[in-house]
Amino acid sequence: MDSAMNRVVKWWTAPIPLARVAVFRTVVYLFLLYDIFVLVNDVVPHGYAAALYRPLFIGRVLPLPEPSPPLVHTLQVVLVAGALVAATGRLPRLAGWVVAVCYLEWLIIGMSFGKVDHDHLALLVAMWVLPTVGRARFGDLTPSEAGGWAFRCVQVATIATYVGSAFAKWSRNGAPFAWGGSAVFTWAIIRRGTEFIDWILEYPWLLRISQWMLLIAEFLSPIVLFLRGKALLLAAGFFLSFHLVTYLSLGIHFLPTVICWLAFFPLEKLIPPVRRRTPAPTPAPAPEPEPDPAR
Amino acid sequence: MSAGEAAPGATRRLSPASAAWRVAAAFAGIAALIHGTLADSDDYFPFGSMAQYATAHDLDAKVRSTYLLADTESGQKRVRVPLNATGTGIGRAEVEGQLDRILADPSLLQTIADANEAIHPERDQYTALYLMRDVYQLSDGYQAGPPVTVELARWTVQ
Repeated sequence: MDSAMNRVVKWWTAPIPLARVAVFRTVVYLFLLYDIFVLVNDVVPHGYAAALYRPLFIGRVLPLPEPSPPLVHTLQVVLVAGALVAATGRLPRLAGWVVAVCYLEWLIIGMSFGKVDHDHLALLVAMWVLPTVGRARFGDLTPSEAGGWAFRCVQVATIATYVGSAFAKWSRNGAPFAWGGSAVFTWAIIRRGTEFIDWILEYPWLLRISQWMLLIAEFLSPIVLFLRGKALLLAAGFFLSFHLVTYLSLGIHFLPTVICWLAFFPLEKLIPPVRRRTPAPTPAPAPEPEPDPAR
Repeated sequence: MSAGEAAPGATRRLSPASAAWRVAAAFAGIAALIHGTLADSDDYFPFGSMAQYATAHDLDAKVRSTYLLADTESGQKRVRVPLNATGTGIGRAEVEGQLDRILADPSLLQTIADANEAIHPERDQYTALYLMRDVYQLSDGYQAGPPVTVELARWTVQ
C-alpha cells in the first residue's frame, strides 16, 4: 500500500475507545424512538393513505413492501423492541441490523409521499455503521479501529448535510453564490415564520446577510472534520445555534443531525471513572476478525 | 490518566480486508451523495440532494402558500385542515409536492378525508375539501400588500 492510500485508510479508521461507541449507541437508539414517534410519525398514517405512495428510487429498486396498516404497525413494534435491546448494548449486531433495515423501510415510507426530509442522513448512516462495531462495553477504553470507522462515517454524514446543502444550492441555481442574495429566507418566513421572527420581514437586507453567512459556513463545513479542542467546540456551537434559530423561526429543527454531532466528542468521559476498567489482557494485538454472521 | 482509571487494552486493529471494505463503502456513499446532488433530486434519498430551501427566490417574486380548507359534518364552513402527521397524516409539503397530480385529479383529496376518518373517527369529519393558495407579491425583497387568495381545486367528500 503506498503511503497516501495508507494515510487515507488511517484517517477513516483512526481508533476510538469502545466506551465512546457504547455511549453513542445508547443515545442514538433511544433517540430513534423519539424520531419514529415524534419526528417521522407520519408513517403509520401513511399506511392508511397508500394511494398517495410514490416510492423513492430505493423503494423501487429494492423489493420493499407497499405501505399498509399491518406493515406499518409491525415495523413500529420491531423498531421499538430492536432499538431498546440495541440501546443496552446487547446483541449489537443482530438487534443493530434489524433496526437498520426496518428504519430504512420506515424512512422510505415516510418520505415517499411527495416530501423528503434532509435531516436524516447522518442518523440513518449511524444505524447502518454501528452494528459493524460489535460488542462495546461502557467500561472498555480499548481503542478500536472498527469503532473509529463507524464514528468517522457519522461525522462525515453530519458534515455532508451542510456541505451537500451548499452544493445543492449551487447545482439548483446554476451559480455557487446565486442563493445568497435571493429572497429565500423571506419566502420561508412568509410561508411558515413564527412570531419570534416575523418582524424581520421589514428588514430583508438582514436576511440576505444571514443567507451569505450560512452559505459560506456550509461551503467551509468540511474543515470541521479536522478541527480539535476549542475550534471544534466553536464550530459545533455555530451550527447548533443555527439549528436553534431555524427551529424558533420556522419550526424546523434538524434534531436527527444535531444528535449526530455527538460523534465529534469524547463521550466516554461521561462515564464515571469507577465504571471504566481494563479488559482482560489479550495475548497479542491480533487483527479484529471479520464479523461472524452467526453472532 | 487520572488515578483509579485503568489503562486501556491494546488497540484493536482491523485486518487489511476489513479496513478495505470499510473505506470502499465510505467512498461509495460519498459518490452516491455527489450523484444525488448533481442530479438535484430527492429521489435518491438518503443520498439525495440536501436541497432544503435551496431554490433562490427572486427579490420581486410571488410567494405562494398552499393550504387546505374543509366543510365539516357539524356544519362548520372552511375550517383549516391540519396538514401534518397528527392531523391527517399528509403534510403540507406533501400536498405541494403532488400538486400537479391533485389538480389533474381532485379525487385524490378523498384520500385525505378517508385517512382523517380512519385515524381520527372521533373528530368532526369533512364533507368538502378546498385546496387554497395565498399569493404574496414581493418587491425588492419587501412584502408588497396583502396576499391574494385563490381556490385551486375542490372536492365533495364521498
